Amino acid sequence: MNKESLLWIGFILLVIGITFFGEYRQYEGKIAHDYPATINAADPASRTSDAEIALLDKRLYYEPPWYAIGIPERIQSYAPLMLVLVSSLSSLSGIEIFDLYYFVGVIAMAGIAIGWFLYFRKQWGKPWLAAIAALILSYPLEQFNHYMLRIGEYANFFVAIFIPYLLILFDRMIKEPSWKNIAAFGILAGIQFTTYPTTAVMLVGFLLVYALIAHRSKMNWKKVIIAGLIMVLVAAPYAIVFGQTVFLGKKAAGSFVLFKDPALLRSPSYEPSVDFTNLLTPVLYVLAILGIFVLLKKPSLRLPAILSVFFVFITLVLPALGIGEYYFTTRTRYLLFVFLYPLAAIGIFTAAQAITQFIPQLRHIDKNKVFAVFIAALAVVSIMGVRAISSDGPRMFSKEKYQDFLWVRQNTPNDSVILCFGCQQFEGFVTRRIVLQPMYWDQEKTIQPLLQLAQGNITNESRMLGTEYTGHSTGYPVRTGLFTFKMSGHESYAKRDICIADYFIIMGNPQLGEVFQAIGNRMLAKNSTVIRQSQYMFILKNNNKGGECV
Amino acid sequence: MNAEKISPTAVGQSFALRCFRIKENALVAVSFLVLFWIFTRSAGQAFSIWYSFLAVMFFPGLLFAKWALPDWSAWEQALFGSFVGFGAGPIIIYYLSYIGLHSIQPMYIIGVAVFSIAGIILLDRKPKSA
Repeated sequence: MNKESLLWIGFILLVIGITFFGEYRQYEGKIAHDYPATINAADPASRTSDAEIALLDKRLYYEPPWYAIGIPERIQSYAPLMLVLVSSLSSLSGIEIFDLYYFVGVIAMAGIAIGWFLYFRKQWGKPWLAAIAALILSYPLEQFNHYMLRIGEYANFFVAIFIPYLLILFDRMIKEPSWKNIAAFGILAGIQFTTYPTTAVMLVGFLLVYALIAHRSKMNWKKVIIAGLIMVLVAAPYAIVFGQTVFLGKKAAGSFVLFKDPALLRSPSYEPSVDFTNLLTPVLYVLAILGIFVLLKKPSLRLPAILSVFFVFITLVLPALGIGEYYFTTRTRYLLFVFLYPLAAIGIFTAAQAITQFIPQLRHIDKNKVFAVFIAALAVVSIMGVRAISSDGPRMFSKEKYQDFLWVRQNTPNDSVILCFGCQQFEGFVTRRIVLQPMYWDQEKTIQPLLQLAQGNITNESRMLGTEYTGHSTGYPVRTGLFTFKMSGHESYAKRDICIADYFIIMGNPQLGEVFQAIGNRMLAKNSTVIRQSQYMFILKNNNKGGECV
Repeated sequence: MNAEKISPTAVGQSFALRCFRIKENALVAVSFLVLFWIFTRSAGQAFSIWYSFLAVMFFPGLLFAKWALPDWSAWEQALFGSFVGFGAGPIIIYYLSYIGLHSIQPMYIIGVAVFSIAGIILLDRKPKSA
């Protein structure tokens, strides 16, 4: 076996070894361990539910009955890759979908590292240098997403895995715009669309602009357009469904107003908010490197600078002015990092130039080495930043709290109704159940009835609490033909009788803890029984379902 | 593009090389399986998940890689393909389901894998032109 093959084997072993043992060692070595997947977000919970019903029903269009909507023929409009992949793996292996998402995330992580390795190896021709670059670019990303901190974290993984592979095909298309290379790029770009449409479209747009800027003398406009058309063709069936959700959904629901909260970048309720730690996410400097490539290849900075300013304007300035739209602002928070990249690259480039210009002793230093130092420094700061994130907070659960929630999943029947006081996105653990959560921002529908219940003013009215349940809220397409749909909507947040729940979970809460406790005592007085008690929560079984449970 | 690596004139040499490339691809697949088996055993989990990984992702991705990157080495193709297959395999199944085939079933998934393997072999057997 030659040296090259040994290097490959070494690299594969390194990536898989670090990824798998690094990830699973702390979870008792369980590869399909679900911890800490699906923590803290309705989106992952809904995706898990969607994938579970796809597996059970063997189809990709059906409304999970535990959403309590019961509309058949609903098209799965979320990124199909996430649904199909886990459904397929589960179908073949027999491992629960609930357990598989985390596994798939880890595999994706290894794929991201290997993708960057391939990309940089082709760029630099030095395997070990490429291996270092790949690990630097992938490890912090994994760290950042490891605890599934952000709603949509699956999408981050799936989008990220395609960036290096798409760039490889992109480079080939630039260097040799043959029909095959154009088709290959178009096909993969189309597949990438199914990871997270908005991001993929924007990224492909960025890449095509890069193509026109850096190689406009070589690029054949017709072939670029054909690459785009191939992408559209590959993505078309899904794009139609997604388009129905976005555009028809907007009409049907009537609730997609111009951007409703200009505090996108400041409010902790919008994640990820932009701060020092997550501004330096790996995604940021992954594309910073790409930006550097752009700048190195083309002296003129005008067009990329205009492009960067354009995207920053969309994601930062427009929302601040109160102008925008759901899919251009809230949804594009993931893109923010992507589009800040070129600017970061320009900053790095300028700083490196300044250092070598004004410090004579450094003039002989290779600029690439200066870049490397900057990139390494970014990586270190990023790793430090993500490691500083608390392991137990409102957005993340401790292992003990996780065990509590897992117990609920293991000890309550499917389709049961669980009402949780004080939970934050608890439904991620209990797919296949209807999870009701009071919405504490609503004084009239939630807080007032809660206080009434705690004070013993029990009436039919006070038992009606403003709650939200797992699943989609408004505006999704329902299939009427192969390519025809009608839109259907459902209000997930409404006032509901709390006594319809089979189980109550009562957690601690700084503001409402005593209120929850008082309500819990009244439930016990009405024949509810404690079935689990821990440091974090009480779990009650409602023995008066449909009656007077409090 | 492939002309530098696979001589269009030396038919015998070309055939031997193609056989070697198939074997090398197979070696990668087996290497993946062995590696996964080691990790799986150490973690006490079901090995079947790795067969699933190969069926759903590895083979469709490898087919795509061999078509799109014919001048790459078998190792590179296998690595590229195995993770690009993250998209290639599932998207085929998604579209099958979309047109009404109930495809989230082992039979269809294995069908995708078999189709991909056949494609890989055919692609490698196809005479390369200069």
